[in-house]
Amino acid sequence: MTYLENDVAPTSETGRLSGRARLLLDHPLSTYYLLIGASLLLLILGLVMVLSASSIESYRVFGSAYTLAQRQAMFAVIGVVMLIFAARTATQFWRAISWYLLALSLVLLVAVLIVGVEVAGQRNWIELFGPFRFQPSEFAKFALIVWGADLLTRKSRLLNNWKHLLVPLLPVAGLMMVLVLLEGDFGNAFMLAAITTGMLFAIGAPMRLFAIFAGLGAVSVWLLTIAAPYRMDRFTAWLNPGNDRLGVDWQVTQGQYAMGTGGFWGVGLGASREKWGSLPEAHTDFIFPVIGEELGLVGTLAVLGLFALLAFAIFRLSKTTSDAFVRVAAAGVGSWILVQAILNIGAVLGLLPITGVPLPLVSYGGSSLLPILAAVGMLLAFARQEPAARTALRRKSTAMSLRRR
Amino acid sequence: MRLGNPARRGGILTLLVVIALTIFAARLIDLQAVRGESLAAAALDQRLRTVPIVAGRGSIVDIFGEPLAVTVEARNLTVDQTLVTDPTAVAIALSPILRMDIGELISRLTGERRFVYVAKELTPDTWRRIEALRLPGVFSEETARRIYPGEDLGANVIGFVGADGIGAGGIEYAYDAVLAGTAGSLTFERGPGGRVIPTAQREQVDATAGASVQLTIDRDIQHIAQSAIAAQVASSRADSGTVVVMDPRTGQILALAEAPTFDANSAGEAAAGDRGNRALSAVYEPGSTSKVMTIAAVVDQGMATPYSTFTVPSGLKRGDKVFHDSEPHGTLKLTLAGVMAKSSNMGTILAAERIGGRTLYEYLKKFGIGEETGLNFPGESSGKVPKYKDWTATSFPTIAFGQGLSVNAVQAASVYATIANDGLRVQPSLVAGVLNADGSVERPPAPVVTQVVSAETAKQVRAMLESVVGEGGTGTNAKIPGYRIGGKTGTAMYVDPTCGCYRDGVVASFIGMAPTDDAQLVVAVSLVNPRIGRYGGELAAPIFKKVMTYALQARQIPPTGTRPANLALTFGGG
Repeated sequence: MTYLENDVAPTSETGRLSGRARLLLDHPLSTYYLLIGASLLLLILGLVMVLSASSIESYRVFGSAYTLAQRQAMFAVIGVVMLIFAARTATQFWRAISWYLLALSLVLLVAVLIVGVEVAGQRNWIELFGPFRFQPSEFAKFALIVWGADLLTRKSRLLNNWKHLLVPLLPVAGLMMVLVLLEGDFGNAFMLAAITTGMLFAIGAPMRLFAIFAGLGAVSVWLLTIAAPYRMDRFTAWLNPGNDRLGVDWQVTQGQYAMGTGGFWGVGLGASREKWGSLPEAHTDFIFPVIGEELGLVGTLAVLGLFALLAFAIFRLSKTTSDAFVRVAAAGVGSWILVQAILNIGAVLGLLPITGVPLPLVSYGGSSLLPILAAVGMLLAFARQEPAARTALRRKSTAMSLRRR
Repeated sequence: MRLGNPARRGGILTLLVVIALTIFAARLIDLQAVRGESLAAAALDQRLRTVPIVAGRGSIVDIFGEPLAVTVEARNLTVDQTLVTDPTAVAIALSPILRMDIGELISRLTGERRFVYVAKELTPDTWRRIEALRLPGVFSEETARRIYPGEDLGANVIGFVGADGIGAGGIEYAYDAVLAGTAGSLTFERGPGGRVIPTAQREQVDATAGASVQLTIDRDIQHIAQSAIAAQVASSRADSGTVVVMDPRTGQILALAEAPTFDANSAGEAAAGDRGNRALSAVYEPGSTSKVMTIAAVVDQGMATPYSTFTVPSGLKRGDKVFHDSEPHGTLKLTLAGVMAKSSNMGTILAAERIGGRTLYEYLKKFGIGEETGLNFPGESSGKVPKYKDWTATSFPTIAFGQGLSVNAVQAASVYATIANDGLRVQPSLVAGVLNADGSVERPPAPVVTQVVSAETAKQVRAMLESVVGEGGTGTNAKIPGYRIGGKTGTAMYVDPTCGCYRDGVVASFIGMAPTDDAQLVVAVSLVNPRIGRYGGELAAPIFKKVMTYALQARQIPPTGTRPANLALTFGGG
């Protein structure tokens, strides 16, 4: 195997790294392995932590400590199957279905407003069979990425024109955001904005556009915060921590208690105290503190590290590819996973207001997990199709078949 | 417009993420390493709960170890109202088991409170029946229930516990520290719903069970004494009555009965006046039963013998007052034994004048009048004898025959026990020992013993007391065939405690011993304010006979087989 690494000349951007690390990162399949490695590690860690964090709530509601964990395991199995399929698709497949994905997501976003059920103040769920529910806004993020990437790729020669750069991308994204906001889902509306911004940033849109976005974003956050009292509460709680330890701030305080209790090494897997009812949403939005309590600083830093690796791999794919579709789609998926992770962890750490988004790949919930695994699968397909990777893969299979012989 | 370089843009995105994650990492180091311990302490403080573990309360047993008060396991029925979906159905299910009103149950089961008591101190069996119904939201907590198997048996001695399980009367109160034991504690971590977190720390300090208190009371004698006095109080329509049974050689009180009494299992429902102990807390003027002290003092001083003669006139003027006997008579010629047997007030005054007031006063104090009994019983009253220097011209003659001083029933019994025990006064006792949970026994210190009168004096006084129950005496109703009995009747004026003045009523009493030549039992009976009948010889003596007869059997005391002294009561054909 080692001769494969020597095959490829080091590229300039990893030139600062030295020795063996450079050799590993320079491997044509390193993006592919980093992607799959970091995602699967987060997925597995998530399964273990969901099992621990959901057990008390699950036992209380269903009479079995394992019901929620079993569901999450089932979601993970379906998600991994989707990931495997997605990893074997060609770029053309996604481009071909991009409009259908967009149309379907818009239909679902409208449908949820009509037939949706309200959970925790947000009317963003569609009832499926049995105990299962589906959240269209999660799927919409995926659809927006594929459609937007295809759109910007087809317009790639016209993008130096403002009109072609922003229309119809911004109107469509804006429509989605309005629909999601009508559900009351502020967090996912913000995520749609972040994904759109990420895609435009990657394609090279002028910096002054993002200055305008930042201004617009600040104004709309302010307006939306004023419009909904609960968001205002979250916001003031964030500005004045400790003011209202038993009210809105309760969750953040309990999260910090959990992480403080975990200390350096953690109290051990399964031994969280906060999950016994003190910490609400311990297996969903607030799973990160449970990791902090059970696995300590070592565990939380490892999670940050895995997200950093994921960021490195995805954005490397985005910047090294010669395919505009791959560049924009990778930037979209990267913005999705990482902005959402930052929103989630930042809120838990008391550094950002609570937006109510789950921790990607880790938190409980099929609606969140399945589209992300599909998106990661799609990125894996892109990584495999890079020219250098193709060569390496071809050599690898030749070597395997030679060895077999 | 020019587009930016995609390669640079990808790098910027990576950098932004790394910056954000680096800030998070710094925050995590702050939360988990720098401030970790103080956050953990605040979190622990929020979860930590300490609940007491109740120590099993010791029993109260009689002299033979028979249980008088025991603590049994019980359950309090509680409800989390938020978990009760159908209060009516639950109430209908519980009502027949708890024997509680359905409406009352519904109101306790309905609401938003997480912890409400439905019923207290259920038997474990009742709880098992409720538990089998599997009613959501209905729980139980372990508790203890104080049971008095004899109900009213010895209730006024044993006392009772309050709703909190703490002694509130009698021995339960006086020995609470001994009986209660030391509570333990359980410290654990719990979630907001009250669920114990099994993976967290847990610290248990075991409770130390309380010690048991062994009384000197004999349950069987107590029972007879109680039923006898209750019957007599009822038939004489007296306000109340007491019986004291003592072993004069040890000072041990074998029975301390009174009527009306109460059921210690439901002390809360009893009248406050019935829950105390009248034999120790209610004082009365002893009247004629007090004459035994005066006469013993005179004999002990060598100023008279049972045969000494006294010419008793029809009236005797002392100070500004003329004294009479209870029955009008002409001049009587009585021996000292006759003075005792006829219970002559004037004869007693004449005898007392041979020793004088100061000496009489000293003897009264030696007999324990106006002194505490040493039982340390809650609510005990030691009675009163006026200080000698405060005596007026009429104090000496009235105190000589039992007026103007007050005693409680145990003090009165103790006087006769002293005579019975050859003049040796043994401090009375109610507690025979403390039986520790580890099996060791603590005996109380040996009682204080005082020689009040000489053995010879005591013997002569006993002979005179035999005359009282003999022919021509006032206490013939106390006679028990086959046994030598000695005793003294008393029919004292009743001092109404509400005004401190004499009213129409009397205290009818009889105190006696058996067998007089080897006295092993003293029984003192008194009835306050009887409305049917009046005299001690008539109302109290039969109760004495009943209780003493049973006690002699129970203690297996055989007749001595000797003959009574049969002293002459009169002289010179008077």
